[in-house]
Amino acid sequence: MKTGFRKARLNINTIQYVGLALVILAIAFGFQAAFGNVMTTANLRVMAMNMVFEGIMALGMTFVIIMGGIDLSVASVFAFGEILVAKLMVQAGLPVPVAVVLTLITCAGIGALNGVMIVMLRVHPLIITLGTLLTLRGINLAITDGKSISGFSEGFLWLGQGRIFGVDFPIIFFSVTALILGLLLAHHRYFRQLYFIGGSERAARFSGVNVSRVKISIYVLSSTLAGCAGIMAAAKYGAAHWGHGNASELKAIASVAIGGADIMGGSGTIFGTVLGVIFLAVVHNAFVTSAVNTFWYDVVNGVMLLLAVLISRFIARQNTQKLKALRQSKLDQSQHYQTSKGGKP
Amino acid sequence: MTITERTIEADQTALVSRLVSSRQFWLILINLAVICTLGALRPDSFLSWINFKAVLSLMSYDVLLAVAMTTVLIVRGLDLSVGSVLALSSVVMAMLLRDGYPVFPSLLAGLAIALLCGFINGLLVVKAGILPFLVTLGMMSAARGFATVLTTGQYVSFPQAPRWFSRFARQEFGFHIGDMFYGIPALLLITLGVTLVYGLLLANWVPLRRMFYLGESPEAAKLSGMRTARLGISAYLISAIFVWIAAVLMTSANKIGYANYGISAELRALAAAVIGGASLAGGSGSILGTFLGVLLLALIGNGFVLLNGNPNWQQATIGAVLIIAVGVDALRTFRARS
Repeated sequence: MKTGFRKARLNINTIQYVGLALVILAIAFGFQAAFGNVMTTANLRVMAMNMVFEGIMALGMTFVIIMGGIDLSVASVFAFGEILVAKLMVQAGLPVPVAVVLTLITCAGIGALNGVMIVMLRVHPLIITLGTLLTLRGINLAITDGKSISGFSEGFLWLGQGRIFGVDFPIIFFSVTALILGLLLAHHRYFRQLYFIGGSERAARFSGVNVSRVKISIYVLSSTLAGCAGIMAAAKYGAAHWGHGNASELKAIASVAIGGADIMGGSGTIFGTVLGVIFLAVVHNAFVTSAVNTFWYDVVNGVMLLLAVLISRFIARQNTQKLKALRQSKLDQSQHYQTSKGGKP
Repeated sequence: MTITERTIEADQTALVSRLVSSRQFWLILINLAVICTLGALRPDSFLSWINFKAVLSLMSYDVLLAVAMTTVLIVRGLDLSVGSVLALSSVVMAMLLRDGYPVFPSLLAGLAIALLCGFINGLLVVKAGILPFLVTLGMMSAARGFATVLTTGQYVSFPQAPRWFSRFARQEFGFHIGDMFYGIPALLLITLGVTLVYGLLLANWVPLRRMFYLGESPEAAKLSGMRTARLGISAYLISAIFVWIAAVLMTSANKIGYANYGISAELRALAAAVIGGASLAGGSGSILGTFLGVLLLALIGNGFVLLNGNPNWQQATIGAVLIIAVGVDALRTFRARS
């Protein structure tokens, strides 16, 4: 019986992914047919580079959301990573690898701080990470006085502008990280615990999962990925500015939600998130290439988020209904079995 | 000692202990402490009526938005769209005024837009059962987008609108004490009046008190025969009304409608409401607490400017105060439990 349920669930998830992929293809080919400039290499590159940093943040966000948490602070960690790496190189004169490593360690530390506060204070992660978001954004503004920092070395700029086999380094980074994290999330024992925690934290704790440790480590992962994105963004733009990445936390969350993860926790995959990221990138690009007023982008973004959430809610409801029907049939069967044997009902 | 005296004494100690343990009491003390510190450090610039007037007028929009946020937090909701609905409503009103419509129909159209947004939020949250965080996130993006589409990102001024509309928010009602003239802008008076009335109603009027019950335990509220769906949606509608009031005041005071009004105001409103005692778990929060939360943030911001510190640090303090408030709460509940 259990396998029967899993099969049904799998089917529904597959349908969702296929549907999303079909919508993406329909938009891309529709605009290609209408305007004829979508499927060019240059445009595809622009399209990918527009969303890649939010995409990297969305990967970490997927882990956090599966666990039933949320991390609003990624946007300010992103800008902080930019500023810190720039300051270390330009103002402190450190060599590139040292600056990058120090920045990543600091960003991981911010994630650890988030995680520890969430575990210790037992307050909703939304509030804690909102606090970190506002604090860190203020710090970003204050330590740069609102000015941008530039003047990087060629070697550093490669991190954002360099290409391997004609593909930009950030895109390669995104793809490789998505692949590794996706495999780990699907198969590694440690990350499978996330689904357990997201499904029911109490149950996970009672069955011996070290919930606190897992939580802290996932917030560290999310912040570190945001820091990576920040470093590459500094290299791509050739400048660090506190205003970069504003509202990118919302785009990252939207990608995860469009990718079919339940924001209450307990479900979601990296594959879905990647599809969600591609979807947002394609929609944005469709507005740019079609020269429709790009101001519409925000409207469509919001409406799509609502639609995606409605659909995934609908699917979740169907899943629970199936689960309930299954339980009921099992119950009926066992009762039938017992009564037929003449035991107690 | 007679019995009555003893009970009165007991009542008094109970009152004192309740006062000391209440959140508003501590917030008032902290606010007074900040005022005294700033007053001692910068007696001339801080303790002037002009400075107080500026601080209070600037924070009145945040007060209205934070009151809106508190209302939905009480029913275990969340409204991230307050800032963008403010912008959309302001833009709609300004465009109608620019096109020569009379003031009241324009204002009503703004109200209708705000209520529509609130209604959609409430419907999706209550009826479809989607997390308020996501619903209002979508609404935040969509409403800001619509405002930008309507105005193509430009300011909307309305030179043909009646003079009194573009003046009333800054109109000052003054009174003389000795030789000094103290003027209070209508903006501030309206904000304080509306907030006061609503705070009293929320604390005493049964239909609004029910919202606390609903937030505390939706199941119990439903089982005890409340119309929970209607109550939940009406919380979002009340929130929309406060957003609309803020939009009217902002449009009138600045004499323009603009699609970028209230950017990241939702985060400040949420921070102020949580500092004031509201919780994402629902069922708690008070208007006085929220007001004091906004006041605290505004005073600290003002202090940074006056102490010639870097005003850029002001934003960082909002987050820090939020985390400290939440931390103190956690300590208190921890102590109460053990």
